Amino acid sequence: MNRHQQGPVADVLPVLSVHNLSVTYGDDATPTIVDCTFDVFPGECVLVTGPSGSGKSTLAMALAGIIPRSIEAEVSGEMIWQSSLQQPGKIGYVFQDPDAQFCMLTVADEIAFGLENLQIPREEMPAKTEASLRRVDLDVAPSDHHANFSGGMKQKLAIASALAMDCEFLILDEPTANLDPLATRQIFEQIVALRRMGRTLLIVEHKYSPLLPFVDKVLRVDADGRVTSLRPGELSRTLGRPSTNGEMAVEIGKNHLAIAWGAEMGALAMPRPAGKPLLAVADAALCYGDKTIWSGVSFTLHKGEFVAIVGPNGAGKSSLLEVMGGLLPVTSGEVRLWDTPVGRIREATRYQTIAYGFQNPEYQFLFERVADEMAGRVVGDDVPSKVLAQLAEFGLENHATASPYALSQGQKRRLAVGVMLRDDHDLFLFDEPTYGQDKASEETILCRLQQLQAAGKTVVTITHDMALVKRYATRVLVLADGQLLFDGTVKDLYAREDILQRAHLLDDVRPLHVGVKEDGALVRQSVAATARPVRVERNDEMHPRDRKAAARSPLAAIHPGVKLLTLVYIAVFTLFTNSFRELAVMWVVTLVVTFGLGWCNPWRALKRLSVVLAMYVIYLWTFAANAATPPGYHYENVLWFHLSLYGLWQGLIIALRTFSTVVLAYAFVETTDGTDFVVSLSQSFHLPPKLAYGVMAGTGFLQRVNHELRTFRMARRVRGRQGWWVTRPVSYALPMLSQSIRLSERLATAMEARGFYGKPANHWNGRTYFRRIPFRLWDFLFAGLCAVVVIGVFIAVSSR
Amino acid sequence: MTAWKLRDVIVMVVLAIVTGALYKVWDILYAVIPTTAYAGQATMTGLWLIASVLVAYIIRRPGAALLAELIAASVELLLGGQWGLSNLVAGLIQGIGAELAFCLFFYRGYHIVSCILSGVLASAAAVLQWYFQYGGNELTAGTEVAYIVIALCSGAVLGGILPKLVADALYKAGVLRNFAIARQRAMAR
Repeated sequence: MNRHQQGPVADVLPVLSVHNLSVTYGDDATPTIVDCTFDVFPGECVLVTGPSGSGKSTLAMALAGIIPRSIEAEVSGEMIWQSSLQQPGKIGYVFQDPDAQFCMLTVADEIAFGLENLQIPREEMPAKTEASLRRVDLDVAPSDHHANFSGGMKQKLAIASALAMDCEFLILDEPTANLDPLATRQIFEQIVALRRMGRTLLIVEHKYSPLLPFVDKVLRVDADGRVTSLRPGELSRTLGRPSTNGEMAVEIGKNHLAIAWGAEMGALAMPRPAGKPLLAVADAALCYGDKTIWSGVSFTLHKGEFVAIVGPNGAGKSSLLEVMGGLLPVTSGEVRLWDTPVGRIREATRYQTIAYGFQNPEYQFLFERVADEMAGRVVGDDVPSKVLAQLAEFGLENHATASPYALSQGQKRRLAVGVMLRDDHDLFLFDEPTYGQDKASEETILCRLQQLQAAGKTVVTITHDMALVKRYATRVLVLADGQLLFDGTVKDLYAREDILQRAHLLDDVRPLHVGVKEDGALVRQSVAATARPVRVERNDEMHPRDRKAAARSPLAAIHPGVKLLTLVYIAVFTLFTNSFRELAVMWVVTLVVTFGLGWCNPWRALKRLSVVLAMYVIYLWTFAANAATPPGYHYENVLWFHLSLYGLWQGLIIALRTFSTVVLAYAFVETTDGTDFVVSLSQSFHLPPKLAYGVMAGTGFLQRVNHELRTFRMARRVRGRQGWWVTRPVSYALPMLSQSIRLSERLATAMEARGFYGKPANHWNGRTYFRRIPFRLWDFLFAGLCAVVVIGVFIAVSSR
Repeated sequence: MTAWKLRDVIVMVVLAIVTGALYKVWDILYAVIPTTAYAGQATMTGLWLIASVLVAYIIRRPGAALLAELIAASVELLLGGQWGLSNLVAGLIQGIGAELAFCLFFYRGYHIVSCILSGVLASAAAVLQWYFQYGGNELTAGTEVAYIVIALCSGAVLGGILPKLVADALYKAGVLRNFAIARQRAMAR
């Protein structure tokens, strides 16, 4: 037994003591956290539980200082941290959303970001990065882009970033919320290992039972924000009987339903398929480019089935559901709805049969008010009682006049489901209906789905929640390794351990057991250790650039800021050209820079810029047909056009002028590393790092825009309100923008939680830099040469 | 810049990216509308200016209008805009125009008047570039005057009123609770 394996010692000073802590958000009448008092001792593992929306995250963020530093709220009471924990970086924080806590593009830059904030010398960064990656057992190269990682890998990277900063107190806020069972288990193992290493931990978690043997203290947050400190044993006892009203109601609801169908929960039999199939998928395959997502998928759905689709993150479950809903065409094979190929059914008819619930319910809203949304039309101020009754069913009657976007996540989902259930459909497809849900709204939704199934409808849902599968599904489809691995009942699935393992579904079957080697590396003894997490390849992600010639060119070696200034300088000169002779000179300069120094591939450039070239042809016509001709020039009036050769020449000058700047811009983009450029803004031009790294974080978002837009478009198709394509930006604006703002806020919070506030964020020299982008002699040679040559040639030509 | 919160910076960048993408779509539309319809071209001017008012009206900091327009223009360029580096020049001068309006109100007046003024000044900058760079000075005098008048009106409506309405709608949707727009309204109440 090594020193890591000791539990907390009782007779030492607490690392944190909290007395009468209360947190109140701006407009709220009552505090979210009320009068909370507890101590945390070194090496303890504290679990925070309670219903969603009760303020667990608020408590965690208040402890970490994120409230009120990054999120405004009124905090009262006392919070005493041990002095060693009061320096930045000592308190680590891992957030729920794996996609909204990174601000750089590569693994090395990401981990270095936190180290830079602590002003750790760059020479020490690679070693710290490697050590922290080893500790979380994340086998990736430092140059890998984390956008391609699965959710589990991203959460490990977040933990590694905190460990690299040498945090002593780590807070994990629902780190497994959207992970498959294997990834969840790996994160749990990580938590156990951290505890063995002597880190003090505070974990907010719903699915905590496997962790319970390793928990030293439980903080239970009630719905009214009161916090009770319990021992783990007490928690399991209180859970044994229904303690709160909410849980009681759920129990009653369950019994009620069970009686209604004369069925026992958890022992659902597969109904005998009857009649012709509702939906048939025959030998379907889906490929993006030359990469096959899945192939050979065949199954039929009948009336009255409750089907769960499960499998690892990134297996293509969402795209399978999209294929079933006719939103995405298959590459080969066929999908038939009521024996007609789904693509041939008119959309209006198709989405009368099929109802589709997306992961983000917000995308499905069409109206400005909750009541209008539920009614499917603008109902005015007098909300009809029928609509109110429908709203009441989903606990939304008090929000009838609110904006759907202003609801909480749980309420939004319930509203979206309510709208789906309003009309009569035969097939209900859901993409993770319980994502971001608390237990109560999960129950509301699932009970309604079960009623639908009882009424002979077919329900298909994607989920990671095996408890849900066991309780509700009559049939399970397992999608993993690019194929349909299993199609049958839950009971049969649990008899097939090989499939469970391949599909990352082995969740609570074995107790957690991890060892730690002296160097801090994990020794896993569970079966999970043999399975590697898969990397998600998103279809819409930008293709990683292989090191092409342009990236090795002399132009690529120039300081990015100097390069931009020089190119803009050339562009400005080009804008003042007025004759073909001047233009010819500027074009020679442009071509020399782009292809001579930038080594851009002319063929690729031509392909890339062909669309722009086509636009210039239209401009030429504009000028040929509309320019005012000075006296003495010939022109021809045809219809309302004023055709002249003079206009054509003028148009050509303007087009060539603008197009040369397009080519220069192309050369800049091709030869510049975006991260280098943004970091140089702060490092070389002394802009506040807040701005430079804010731009960096924002550009990470750029990669998501495509994905979000695509999903949003599908949601609109399902609702039958896609709109004329010109008016689409208008109807897309609100949901897209509010989603963007929410993501930005989360990103900002996550960055500040990693020490990006105060000096490191405000002053360029308040931080160290992992990337060094120095000015070199040839930067000035290049800039000077360009400046002199352009001016010289320009004057020589125009004075002739 | 020290007064800016990180949240303000990221929201500015993200909104600028979204509007930059919108500008790119607008570029394509611009290229396909009948090019003889100068009125149509002038009418479109205002939408290329929305980043300034949208961001400045939400985060209410000096420099926000200029930076937002500049970043939006860079994004448009990165996505392959047909104007090349001239895009940066456009972003810079339009941003300066838009910024000037809020500056005239000492960065305290964020209301319909300053928003409209911002749109008009930004579109005046756009008109300047059109006149000297894109051959506006080659056209007949009548066309030029009509173009300028329509472009300024478009700046007021599409570039000033529209983004203000969008920001107000976002405020109502409750996503701006942590930004200056909500704080100032709470104080006004």
